Amino acid sequence: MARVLVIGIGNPLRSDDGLGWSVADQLSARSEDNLQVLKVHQLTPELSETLSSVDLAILVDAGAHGTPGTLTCDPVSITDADLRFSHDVTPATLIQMAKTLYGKAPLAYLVCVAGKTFEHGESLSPEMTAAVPVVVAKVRDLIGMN
Amino acid sequence: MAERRTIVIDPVTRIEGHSKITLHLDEQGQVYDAQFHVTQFRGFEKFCEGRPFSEMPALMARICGICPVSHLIASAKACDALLAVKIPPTADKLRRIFGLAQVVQSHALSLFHLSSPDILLGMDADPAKSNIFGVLEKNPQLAKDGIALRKFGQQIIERLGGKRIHPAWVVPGGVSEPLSLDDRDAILKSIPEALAIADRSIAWFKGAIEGFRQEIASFGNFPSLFMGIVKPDGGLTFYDGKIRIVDASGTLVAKDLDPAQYRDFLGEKVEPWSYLKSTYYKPKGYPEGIYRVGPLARLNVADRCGTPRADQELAEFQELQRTAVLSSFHYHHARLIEILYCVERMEQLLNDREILDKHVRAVAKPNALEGVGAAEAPRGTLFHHYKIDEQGLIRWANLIIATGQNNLAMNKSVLQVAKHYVKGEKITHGMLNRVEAVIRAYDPCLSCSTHATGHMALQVQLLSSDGAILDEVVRN
Repeated sequence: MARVLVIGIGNPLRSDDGLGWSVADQLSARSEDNLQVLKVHQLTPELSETLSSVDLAILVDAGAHGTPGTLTCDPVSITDADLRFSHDVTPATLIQMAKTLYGKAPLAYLVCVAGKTFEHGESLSPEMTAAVPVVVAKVRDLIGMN
Repeated sequence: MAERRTIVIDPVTRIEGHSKITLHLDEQGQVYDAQFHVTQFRGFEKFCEGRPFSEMPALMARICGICPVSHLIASAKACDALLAVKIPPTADKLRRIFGLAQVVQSHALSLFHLSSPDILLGMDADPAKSNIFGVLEKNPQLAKDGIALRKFGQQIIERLGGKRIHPAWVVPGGVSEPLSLDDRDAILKSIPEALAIADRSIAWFKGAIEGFRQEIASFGNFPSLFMGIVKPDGGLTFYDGKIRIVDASGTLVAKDLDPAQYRDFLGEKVEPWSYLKSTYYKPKGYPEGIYRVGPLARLNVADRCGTPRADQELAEFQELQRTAVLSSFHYHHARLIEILYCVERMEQLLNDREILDKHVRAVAKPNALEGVGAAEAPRGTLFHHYKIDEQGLIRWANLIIATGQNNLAMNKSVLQVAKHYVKGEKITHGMLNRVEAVIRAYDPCLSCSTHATGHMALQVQLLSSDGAILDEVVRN
C-alpha cells in the first residue's frame, strides 16, 4: 500500500490561512494506516527526510492571489526548486532536498485555494469554509488515483 | 569630481528578520562609516500592557518562531519572581532541558542552514551556488547533519512542550506537565547520534577555518567587553546564575552581578536610523561600553563547560588567543561547542533520578509587583522585566534581547569588514557577502514573524551624496 503524507500549511490565527489545518483536521479524524497528516506553519528543511519516506505527498495551502475559493492542484516539480534559502522552503525545494539528501522523492501535489482574508481571526471566510470539503475530496481523489 | 557615495544592502539575506546595511564611501571610494539598520518594528513591550501576567510566557513566546523557548523561560522566570516562589527542582531541570534543546536547534539553523554555504563554499562563491543546494552538492553529510541536529532539538521541544513552535508548557511556577518515562527514554535514545554529529561537525569546522585566516582577522576582530550568565562555580549555563563581564584581555571586569539589577549596569540607547536599541555597559558609558553576548561571549566568560567533551573543546578554543577570543568569526566555532555541551548536559539531566517526578509546578498568587527573569538565549543574555498592578495585570514591560546587546558590535564589525573588503567603485559579490556574513556570525534574530525570509532579494545601491542612484545590483 502506498504511503501517503498530507501536510496542511498555514496559520490558523490568520483567518483563511488556516485552510491547510482545517483540511488536515478533517483528514486526521479518520485513522488510516498508510496516511500520515501533519500541520505546519511553514515548510522547513527537516520535512525533507519525512517526505523521502513516503510515496505520495499532498501539500495543502491557502493562496494569496486569485478569486476567493478557487482551487488549483498542481504537481510539484523539482525543476521549480528555489535556490534561495532560509528556515522556510518551497514545496519544490523540499522535494529536491528529499531526493538529493535521502535518495527518494515522492510524487507530490500542491493543492491551493485562494483565500479572501488573511487578517487576524480564527475562522475561515464563507468561501474558504465551502472549499474545505472540496479540498478533502480532492485529496482523497489524488490518493485514490495514485 | 569625486563625491561621497553610499552603498545600501537591503535586505540582508540569510538572517532571521529584516534589516539593511548602509556603507558610506568618501571621495576616494573608501568606506568611512557603516550602519546596520533594523527596519522592522514589533512593539511587544507596549501591547502586552493590561494583560494578566499569567499570559505573559505564552504571549512572549510569540516574539519569535526560532527562539520561543528562550522567551518562554525568561518570561516564566519573571513571573516566578512575581509569585515569589521557588519552583520544584524537577521543573527547574525540565526547563533547563527545554532550553538546551532549543539552543541545539537554533544553533544548527544558524550554522548549517544560514552560514555553512559561506564556510563550505567560500565567501567568493557564485551566488547561484552559495545556498543549501551548493552545500548538498559539496558535502551532503554536512547538510544531513544540520537537518538531523535541528530535528533532534525540535523533537525534544515537541515531546516536552507538546508542539515545536510556540509551546506553552513552561508556566509561572514551573512547567505544566511532568516528563513521561517513554519520552525520557526516547530522548535518551537519540543522544548518541546527536553527540556523534556534534563531534563530526566540530572536526569539519576546525578543518574548514584554515582557509579563512583573513576573515578571522577582520570579522569583528576588535577589543570589547563580553557578557554572560555563569553558574556559581563559573561554569557555562543557559538557565540561571550571575552575570559575569570580562574585557578583551580576558580579565574580569565584573562578577556576581544580579540579573534582576540589570538596570544598574546596562544602559539602552536609541539611534534614529534603527528600531533596534543599542545596549551598553553603563560604567564605561556609550559607546565605549560596547559588549558582546552569545556563544563567543559565553565561552569567553565561562571557566568551564562542565561536561567532558565540551570541556576538551573549550580548552582548545581558549588556545586560539591568549586573551579573550576576539574575532566574531569564532561565533561559529563557539556555537558548535555549545551544541556539544547542550547534548551532553541534556543526557546528564535526563539521567537525574528526580527527572520523572510528578511535582513540577508551584502554585501561588502574586506576592510581588515587579519581577525580572533572565536566561541565556541562543544569541545571548535575555531579560524580561514586568511590573503588575494589584489585580495582576501588566502595567509595564521591558525586554532586553541579545541582538540589541550585540548591536554596537555588529555595527563596528560591519565597518571593519567593509573597510577591509569594499574598496572603490566595483561592487563584487564577495565583498558584499563578507559584509553580510559578519552579521550572520552574530546570528541576529530580528524576529521571524513575517513569511518573507528566504524569498528576499538582495538590492545594493550606490548613491551619490545627493541621493541619486549611480549604480545598482539586484540579486533575484
